[in-house]
Amino acid sequence: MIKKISLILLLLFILFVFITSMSSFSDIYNNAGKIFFSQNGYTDTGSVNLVTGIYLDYRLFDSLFEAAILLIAVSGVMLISEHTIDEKNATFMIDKQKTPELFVTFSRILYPIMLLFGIYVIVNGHLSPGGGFQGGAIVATAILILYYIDIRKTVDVHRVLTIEKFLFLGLVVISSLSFFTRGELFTNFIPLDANIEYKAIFLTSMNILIGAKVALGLVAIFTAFLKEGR
Amino acid sequence: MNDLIPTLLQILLIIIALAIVFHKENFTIIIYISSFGLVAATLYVLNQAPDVAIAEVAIGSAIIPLIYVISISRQREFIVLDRVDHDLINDELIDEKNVELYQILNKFVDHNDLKMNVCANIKGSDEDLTTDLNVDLIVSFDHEKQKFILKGKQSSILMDHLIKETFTYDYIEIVTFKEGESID
Amino acid sequence: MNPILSFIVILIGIYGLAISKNIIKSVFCITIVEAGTILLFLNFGAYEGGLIPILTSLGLDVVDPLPQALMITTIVIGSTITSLALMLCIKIFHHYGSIEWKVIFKGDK
Repeated sequence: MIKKISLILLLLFILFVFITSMSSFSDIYNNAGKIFFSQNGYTDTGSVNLVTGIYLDYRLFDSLFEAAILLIAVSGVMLISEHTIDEKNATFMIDKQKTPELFVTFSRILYPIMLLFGIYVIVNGHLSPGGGFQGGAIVATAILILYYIDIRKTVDVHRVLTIEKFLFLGLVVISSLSFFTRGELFTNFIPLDANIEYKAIFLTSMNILIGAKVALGLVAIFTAFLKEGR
Repeated sequence: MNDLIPTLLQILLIIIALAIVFHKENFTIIIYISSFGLVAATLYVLNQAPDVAIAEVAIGSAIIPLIYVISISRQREFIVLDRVDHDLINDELIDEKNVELYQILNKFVDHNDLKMNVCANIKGSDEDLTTDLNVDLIVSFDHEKQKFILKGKQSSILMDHLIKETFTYDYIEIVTFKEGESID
Repeated sequence: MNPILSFIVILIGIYGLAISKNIIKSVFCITIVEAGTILLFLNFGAYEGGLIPILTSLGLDVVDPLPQALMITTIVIGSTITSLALMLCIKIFHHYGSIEWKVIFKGDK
């Protein structure tokens, strides 16, 4: 009982410190970054969506490491689950999972619509809210709905992991192409004074690669969970 | 009025967070997590950030509850492997004891809030099965000693409870082994 | 649009993390802390009368786009950490037989 009360008192003290420091917030906050992005963002990166321009051009280094973290997490889940590829022919007596007919029919109608919407969100990353990460999650959900249709569907996990590693290599190669045309690493490879429409080529190709990588990674994680111990 | 809606939504978020912390059943908290993600996504849109809202809805309300459901339902099962050769048993007394053994196991499993899952006809050595397929208990019958032998993992706490409960029965013997080493 | 109310969500998450009795409840509370942090960062960037950071014509009065770009990365990383933690939790259950913290700490022979 003493522990809970002392914990609550400590958290209330932290809240009090936060409230007194928030009273002078307008002195701390700096507007220079926002003014720079809204004036130079469109002509430098070529994208109408400023957020996509930031995580694909000004801060590409962070996105590369985030893709690397996804790769490491998928490998970690595969290692811990000790998932082997050959199907184990175990027949469990009390394990019949029968999905209702309604789910199966609806999944058959919804699957192409979800896939199309996911690809639209990926490709239109620089013109409207969206992008590689968001679209990749939607495509992963669309592929997972296939498990409703047929619960004995097998996914060859080794091939999925190999494709994912090659996609990551492609990501690193395309982002370091700018060393030869502009003289600095990890930015757009089209020179700064070219036409604005040419700069969108780089954005679209990066978005497609990131979206495919995120989708395959999430499908691999989900397959490892579903096959754990069966 | 326009200033009231974000404040009300933030208070709703606090109420859902309190409900998650203080609830006891693990399985119903998953629905709270899904609604928590949706209310948070609405607040992100009201703070002029539609990109973050799409990411939160796609990941926090579709993929995360799916993974939680699978991992929670895996933790409610108790897998028993039956290796008793029913063709070789001719004695009726041993058949009765077989039925009694399963009644004891059923009571034990109900007491610990688990579900029992019985399977048969799997080939393979014992320690391979416990690590690969996560089998919890292997039942077999020894003809020389005329006893039922139950094998399980040494590090499991359920085996300790099982040893205490079947101490008084003389036709059941429990053998525990460490994972990764075989017994002879 | 108060930063103080989002900070209270973070503190509730920390309290739940310290109090929880089984492993799955701890992973739930990590998700709460992460959502509260993202809300706090977005609250710092937004202000009255700002617009969405999509420039349909030059010279608009937009909200700061930098915290939003960082928070997208945060959401994806949070989901991968949750899946890794739950896989470890399943393995712990198969080894020890229960998912409560006290029983696991005591039963280590």
